[in-house]
Amino acid sequence: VTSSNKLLVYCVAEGSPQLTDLRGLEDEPVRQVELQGLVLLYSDFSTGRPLNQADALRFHAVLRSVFDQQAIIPFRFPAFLESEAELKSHLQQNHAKYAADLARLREFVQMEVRISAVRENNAPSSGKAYLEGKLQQSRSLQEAVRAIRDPVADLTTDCKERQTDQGVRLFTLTKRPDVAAFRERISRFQPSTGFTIAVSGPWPATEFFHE
Amino acid sequence: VASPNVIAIGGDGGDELSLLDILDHVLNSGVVIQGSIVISLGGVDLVYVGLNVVLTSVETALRTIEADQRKSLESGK
Repeated sequence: VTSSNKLLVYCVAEGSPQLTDLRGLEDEPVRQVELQGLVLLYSDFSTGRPLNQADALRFHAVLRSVFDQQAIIPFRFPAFLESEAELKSHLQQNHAKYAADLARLREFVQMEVRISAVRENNAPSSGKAYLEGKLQQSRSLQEAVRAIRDPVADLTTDCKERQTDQGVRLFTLTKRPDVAAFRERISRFQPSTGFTIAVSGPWPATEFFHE
Repeated sequence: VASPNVIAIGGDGGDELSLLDILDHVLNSGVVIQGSIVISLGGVDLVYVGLNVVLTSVETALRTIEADQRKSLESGK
């Protein structure tokens, strides 16, 4: 499959975001189709060359420049449609869902806190010791999650957790003006021994979109 | 005083982790368009491979940063 003469879609937003001189992949201008108060942003991608990490970062830069202004619903990279008619059709079919999400999340961003358990270097002496260690680690991890949610509870409208191999990813729905306070409070958190904490954001509130 | 076990990604010294997070979000978050053209190209595969390799090493990276911070404190830098 080639990607020649396709339209790369970036995100959906409300109103008329500022797109002056905004360039996407291949340095193509970012354009928009509009439907009943929503816009879908896209750019041409006609070279058919393989995509790479730099493309993903350019995609992110486009999202960022709009997200810095307002809430967006990003598409997962890469997503291509054939024509403007397809873009409009997609926007029309999903308009109610997108409009509701953007209205609900207009004032919010997503912050992420990744809580990772530090792996023990010592091999367990037996299978039973291994399982007991895993159980203890799981309990400690849940305690760590509870502990880290407390200092930012008043800055969190909604919260979701996702288990990972290393620990837990905590996603919070936070008001945009509260981002600095959120980061500051998390940075002062003292995790219990055996855990590391990484906070990132603000991100578009993708974990809180309509399901 | 910030905890040595807490890293604010995208802040001082967090550039590499920030890159990983950006790639993770770009590739794994957001709306998937049903019926959109699926493009399977080497470059994207490489991004995924690279991301997986590095994401599984995040824990190691965090330990390395922590160790570096400890060394800096010990050497009084």
